[in-house]
Amino acid sequence: MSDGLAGRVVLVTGGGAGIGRSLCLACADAGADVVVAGPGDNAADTAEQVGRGGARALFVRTDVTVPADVETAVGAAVERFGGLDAVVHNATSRLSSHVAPIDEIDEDEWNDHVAVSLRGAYLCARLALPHLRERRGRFIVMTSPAGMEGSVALPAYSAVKGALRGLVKSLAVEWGPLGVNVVGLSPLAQTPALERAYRENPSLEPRLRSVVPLGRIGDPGTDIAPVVVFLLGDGARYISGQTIVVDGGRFTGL
Amino acid sequence: MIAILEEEAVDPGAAPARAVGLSLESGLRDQGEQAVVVAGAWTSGDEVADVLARTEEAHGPLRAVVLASAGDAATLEGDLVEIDPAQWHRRVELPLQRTLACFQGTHRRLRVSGGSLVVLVPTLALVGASGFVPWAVVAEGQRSLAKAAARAWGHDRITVNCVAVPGALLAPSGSPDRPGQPDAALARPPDLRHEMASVVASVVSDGWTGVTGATIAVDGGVWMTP
Repeated sequence: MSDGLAGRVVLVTGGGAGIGRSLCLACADAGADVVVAGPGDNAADTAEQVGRGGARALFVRTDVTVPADVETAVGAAVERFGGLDAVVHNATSRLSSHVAPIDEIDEDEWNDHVAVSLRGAYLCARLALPHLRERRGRFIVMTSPAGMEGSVALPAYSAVKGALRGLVKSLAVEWGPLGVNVVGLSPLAQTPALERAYRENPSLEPRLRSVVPLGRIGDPGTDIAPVVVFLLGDGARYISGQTIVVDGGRFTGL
Repeated sequence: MIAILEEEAVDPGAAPARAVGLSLESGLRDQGEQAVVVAGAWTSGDEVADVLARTEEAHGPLRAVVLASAGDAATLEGDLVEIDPAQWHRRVELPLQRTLACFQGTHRRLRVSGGSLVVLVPTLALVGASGFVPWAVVAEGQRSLAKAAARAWGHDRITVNCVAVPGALLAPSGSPDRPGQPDAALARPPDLRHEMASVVASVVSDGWTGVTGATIAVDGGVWMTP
């Protein structure tokens, strides 16, 4: 356990499972107080798990597409823990791994991707900024390799994850003078969403393994979450506007 | 025939951007191309496919579509925290919905004959710019969707590429991408609006059938992104 985030307050969206849960646990392990903002009971389970480890956590039932919900989550963080140092926007649509070619994306599916990923990011950013700038805070956005390379199977997911990279770059420029860092992180990790994608496309897993130079798919807890903890800590104070790629060396196009 | 799709203004505060499409149309005609501006506020692929079909009836077979505008609302300048949820919807969500409609409708018209889709985006989206987060979000979403489409539609002999130009060419209110940005490498003041048409004409030509999923910067050598 490191105490690199001791005294800091981190709000995580989509903390109920997968990478989101792992990074809640990792932030707590590094000494942070964690607000787990999610729509379902699994986010409450994450908060409980953090609490069992001895750290402070607060579950706030949150639909990130609803302004009042995000306002409540940010307000709860400030009220309970005295401020807010960082937001990690990790939530994605429940349809993230639903295979639908561009022609077959219907309005509901598209709107859900756009609402959770983009409106969620916008609402978190807008409502958290007054608190983040008080503490020279961090705004971290989870994006995806699909957002850099495009995806035949998941074009809607691809579009919103690419759009989030646009948000990261421009918001980093806009908020730099306010002392707030904005960073994207593009992980390749074994998550419930990826496992669903494997089920829908069985050839995906062996193909992915074969194109990762390190020869394995990342683990959310040991490969991804520590990088997020680093990005929230003092060592990353001069990193902003970047998409940090954590994928075992698969994407080398930069 | 090259159809230039342009979104009609939906935000009362936005200036009309028809100038982009008309300028491109004029520039393409200078290149000897038959080009037609088609303006609308489509919300479905069927609507776009229908308007493209009518355009083909009037102007001949379609071989390329240029998505020239994300919608004027997306290009408005302003700090993110000053944008309310209704404005966010108009500036980001609607333009992205219309982008999807344009992609779907274009594929429906080109999937038999093949052809090209070109998306014009501002260079500010590639490098980030204060005051233009909505536009950057929309444009980077378009670029990512373009890559997805390029991968998916290659077997239909459809290429999908983006042409990135200074934001000032795409929006009346467009300002320099960044204060203190690098000087353009090309010493002469480039007539980029005119050159944009030359590049688009080239990208949709037979010589470029091996290029898809790419972003070509036409900014006089300002950013030179990796």
